[in-house]
Amino acid sequence: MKEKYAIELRNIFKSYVAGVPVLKDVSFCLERGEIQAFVGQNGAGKSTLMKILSGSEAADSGEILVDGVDVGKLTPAKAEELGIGIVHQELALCPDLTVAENVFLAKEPLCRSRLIDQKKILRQTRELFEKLQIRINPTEPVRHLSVADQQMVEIAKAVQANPKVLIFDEPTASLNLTEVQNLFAFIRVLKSQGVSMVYISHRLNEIFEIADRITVLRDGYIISTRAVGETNMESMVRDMVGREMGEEYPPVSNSVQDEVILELKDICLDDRLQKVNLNIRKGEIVALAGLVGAGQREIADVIFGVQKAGSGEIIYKGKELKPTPQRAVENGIAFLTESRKKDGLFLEHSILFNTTIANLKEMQTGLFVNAKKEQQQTRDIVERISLKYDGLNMEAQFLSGGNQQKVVISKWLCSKADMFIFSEPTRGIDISAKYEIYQLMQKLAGEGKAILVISSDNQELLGVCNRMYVIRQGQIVKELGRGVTEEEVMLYAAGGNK
Amino acid sequence: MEKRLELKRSGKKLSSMGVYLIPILMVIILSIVSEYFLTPSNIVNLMMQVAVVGILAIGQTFVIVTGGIDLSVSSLLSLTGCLAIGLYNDMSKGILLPLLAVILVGTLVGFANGIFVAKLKIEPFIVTLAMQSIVQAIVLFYTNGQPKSINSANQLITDANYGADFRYIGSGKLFGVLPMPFVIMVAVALIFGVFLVKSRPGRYIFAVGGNKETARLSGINVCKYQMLAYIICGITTAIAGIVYSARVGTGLPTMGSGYELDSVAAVVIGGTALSGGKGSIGKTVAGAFIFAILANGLNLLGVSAYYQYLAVGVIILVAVLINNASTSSRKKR
Repeated sequence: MKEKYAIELRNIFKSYVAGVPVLKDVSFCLERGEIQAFVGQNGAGKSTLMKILSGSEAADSGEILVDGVDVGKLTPAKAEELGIGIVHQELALCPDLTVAENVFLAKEPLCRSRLIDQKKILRQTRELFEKLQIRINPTEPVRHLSVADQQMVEIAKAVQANPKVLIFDEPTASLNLTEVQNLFAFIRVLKSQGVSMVYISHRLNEIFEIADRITVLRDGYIISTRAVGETNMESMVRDMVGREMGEEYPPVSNSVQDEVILELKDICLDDRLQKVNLNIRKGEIVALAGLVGAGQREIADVIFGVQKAGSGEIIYKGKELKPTPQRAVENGIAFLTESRKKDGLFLEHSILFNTTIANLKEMQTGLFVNAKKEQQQTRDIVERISLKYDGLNMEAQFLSGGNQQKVVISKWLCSKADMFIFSEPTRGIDISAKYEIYQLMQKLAGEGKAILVISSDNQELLGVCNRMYVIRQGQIVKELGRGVTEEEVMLYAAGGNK
Repeated sequence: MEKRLELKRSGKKLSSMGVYLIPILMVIILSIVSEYFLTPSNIVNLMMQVAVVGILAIGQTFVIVTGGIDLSVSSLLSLTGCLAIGLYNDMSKGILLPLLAVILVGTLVGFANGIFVAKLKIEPFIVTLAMQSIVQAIVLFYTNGQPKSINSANQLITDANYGADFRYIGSGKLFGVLPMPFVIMVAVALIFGVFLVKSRPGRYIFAVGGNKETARLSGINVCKYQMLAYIICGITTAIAGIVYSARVGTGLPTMGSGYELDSVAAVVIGGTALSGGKGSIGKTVAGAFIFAILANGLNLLGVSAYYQYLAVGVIILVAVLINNASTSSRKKR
């Protein structure tokens, strides 16, 4: 009560490998009922700091004070006891348990018979959801939920423990605009109840909306902590990157040619796509905007043959294509999926392995894969896209998000693709690497490649595309040129305009 | 940063070399503690002992690299062993034809495993466990539960040399020194080792084991290469069966039992994780050597068989612990 600070960290140092500090003398305090945002590029130390705060990693030195009392070294159990909760970036739910069972995981109330009181779990989950205005069926297995709903369950799970301090690690990464607003409304309710919150996000404009104070981390140091009213986007970004940021997007290439490379005609896919018509020209970047789950993913899947269209035609380079992933690759279509780690990379294999895998045929001389040819080609490609690497034998898992994305791009450059599908090209990638990815996309377009880009970030789409389709509930509702605003796109996507 | 990578690399190098050092170390120690170990007859003995498990483990490596496991090698070893002798007797036309037929049978069983795993998407463990039982039934029907020995079906042939060509596979010596089973193992290791590392299908097998979904979305025919791994395992099992029965001179309907896990153990001791995506034939052979040297050494030292089982169990656990420690130290950022 008397203490002003819910949590105070003093002089925290942390390194995973001797001599390579990740956090250097970090001190900060979280006021009671405050929402403090932490921003910084990937590798700035945010995640490590949060791990220390939630007890899953121990600091090398420094003090952690909760309500003014030094609590020594934290463990996850101890942190929870002290009322520190965390909503993880990666979803950590058990897919086969129901929503309610997940919310009460490891905290199940018991009946007199010492068995789990299922009714109580259900009732309390319903109450909790009502309070939080979450509309999810508590008896549904989590496996059946969308990523956004799973995120809400994750949050409910953290809130269920009645935390005094709640850490949000990128809670909106997979939420759409409405869902973000719901989440914010809910965060404000928590705040009014006196819960202090730490909020981490790559979406900077969100932060100005929700946070009270903003702390910028860079290279393991705290650079600044300012009240929202006393700072702005420019100075925040300057603190993050340590220099003036130029434009957020590189100039859009003016290389659109007349030749249509891909055309979808009346594509239907059960109830998820309805008569989708679209076309992409050589050298053109076409964006596909819409709310999460409006059918963007399905269009990409149909083009690449991951899912088979129910009806309709795909005309590729003037001929009808009935794609399977194999056929798509052979025909020069590249698919950069939204989750690099899940289905874009071979994490435990080298940069070289990842680069040449889609075009090994060309690397072959005689019976065997020609190692020299592979090295030569890979080196050429990774230099072309200025990959930062440490030897071509470096495993993909040791690269940063931005460089991992570049390795996926090299795979498709090696396969000599003519048409690229980029799905969430910059998810989890820090600001300066984002710019490089955009530059690469423009460069590809400049070389006459066709690009279809999908993203839940409309600003990003507007920043990179020549033309845009807006999709709503499986239907293309609007085609837009450049020069439209985010709000317009949103209106079409959400169904405000008819 | 520089330093960290340096550390990581040297650590990796050490742990990847370790599996080759261990058998050498074992040889050194055993030649000190036992005067019989380094005798020519024991070396030949050791080479014989390592061959069957070694050849089996080579095929098993392919399957494990795809993230699967093949438990059917035990009864397939019995089947191909009995079949080799049976066909040799029945055909009476030299060794080439019967041996090719035996290898064909191995291929077919591997193909069947592959169909169920890759096309029908049933867990490899289940598929090959069932196949183990089915193939065991076939062996029992074929042999009627009786041993098959090298005897001409044709009573008129009373050639004293009958079966010499077949026996040569099991007990012959190349250049009068190297036992044939060992030579065959080395040949199989070289052919499939190069195939795994250097050929396109080999690379795709790594890709499929590393990440099925990425492989599929990179345009790789996942089914085909998964099946290929099981087929290769069927082929090497057939070769092992031939070698085994030629060495013993008899085909027993249960001669292969236990070999499925021995082969998996050799692969695991060699440092290949059952999760797939990684593995090397060289290390598997080293693993088979560790296995064989251990048994041979303990025998020479007069350690009871009870303890030998214990030693094998401990070795497997230690190998996996070492392997985990080296990979997790690499993973830590």
